[in-house]
Amino acid sequence: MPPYDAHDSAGPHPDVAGWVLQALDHDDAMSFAAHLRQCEQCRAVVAEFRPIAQAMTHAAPALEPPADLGTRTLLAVQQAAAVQPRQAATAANRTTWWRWPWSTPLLSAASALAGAAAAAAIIAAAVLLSGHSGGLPAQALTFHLAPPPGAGQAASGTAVARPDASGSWDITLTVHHLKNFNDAKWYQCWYLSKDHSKVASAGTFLVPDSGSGTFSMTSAVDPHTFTTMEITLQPPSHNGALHGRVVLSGQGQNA
Amino acid sequence: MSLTDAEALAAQEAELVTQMAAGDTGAPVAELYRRYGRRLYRFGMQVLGNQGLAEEMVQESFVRLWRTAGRFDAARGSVGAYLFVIARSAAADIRKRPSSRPLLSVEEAHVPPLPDNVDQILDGLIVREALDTLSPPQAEVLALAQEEGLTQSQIAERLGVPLGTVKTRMFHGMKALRAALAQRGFHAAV
Repeated sequence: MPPYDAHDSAGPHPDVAGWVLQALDHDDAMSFAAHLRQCEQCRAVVAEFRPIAQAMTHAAPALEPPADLGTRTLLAVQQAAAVQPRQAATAANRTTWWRWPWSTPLLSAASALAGAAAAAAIIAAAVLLSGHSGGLPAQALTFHLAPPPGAGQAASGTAVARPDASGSWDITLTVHHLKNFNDAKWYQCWYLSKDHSKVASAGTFLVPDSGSGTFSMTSAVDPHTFTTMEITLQPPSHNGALHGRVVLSGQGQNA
Repeated sequence: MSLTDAEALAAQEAELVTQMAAGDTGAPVAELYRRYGRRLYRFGMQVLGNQGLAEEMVQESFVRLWRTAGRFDAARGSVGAYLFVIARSAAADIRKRPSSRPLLSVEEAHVPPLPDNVDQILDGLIVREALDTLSPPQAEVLALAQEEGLTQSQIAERLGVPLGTVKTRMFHGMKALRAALAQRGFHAAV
């Protein structure tokens, strides 16, 4: 430590912190008190540090929320949306809703089924508002999903879309060898129209450490019109960007 | 953080709420949880004193945010401020609710006594976040002095480091804490 009478060129004496925190040992405290009476620079820093030391006494406990609270919160919102879909959907742009990334909540493999029902409710509400009348063909489609050319990945997947009694489409997506990013990134399943000018999300999912999983999703989108399926890797804060990096894609074929 | 950065952040968060209002219950919710989930949880623990109720408050706050997202007006305040108004209301409702799970006493919940008012709680959350930004060695010496009341020589003995190291870590820790508080707009303290 610099001597009390020789620190001016190097800024305030480091004991100023121990002084405001009342952590100086007795001899140091006595010496610093005498120094403080003569040092305007250290008095100024004491004046700055003292309210900070006071604020520290009111600091919130260093508690961490459970690791899965984020996922449960997302599901809670989605379940609320399923109960009251119209309230949220009324704010949507009726003419351009197709172009919105209708992201369903982040789904773990264990929660995918619970989330799918809520996703169906949201999308169904949007369909009603957009005037999309349905008339869904009854033919199931299969999408064989592969990495883009040159990607050099071993990932693969298959999705089967089947019409259900409500006019929506139940999607069973199975993927293999996708990397697990935990909550840092997630995968999203998209439908693209024939000319790729329109995009609709079918759901969001995480994969376990094995890289493989089967996910159930529901969408109001007709896969005979939206004939391409893509799986993208979404960054954590894409802020509504339509796409992350495409990791799998495929065309719908009659099952 | 410059004013421009703060404005950009506020605009970005307002856009996330707009997306929620438009029906997106996925990525915008996840991003806002990433930014505010921990602070909300700590707020819930402070005002409710129970982990389960704090978790419920966090979930309910985001559900209410979704329900009212269409009414959010960025001109009237930040998303963070709006979210904490919601959280405060949710916590009050949970406290008033007849429940089969009685609130635990402060001793049972292992949390400090509640501050006198919510503003003080919110200030405490900001101070905690600022403390979280310190390097572990700096945070450690400040905690030993503030929470355990140890002198610098006692801290040096506890950690097995020279006294001068403790003095240096304490000084630079206070400087870093001052900067972190200022960055969070905690001007009342600096």
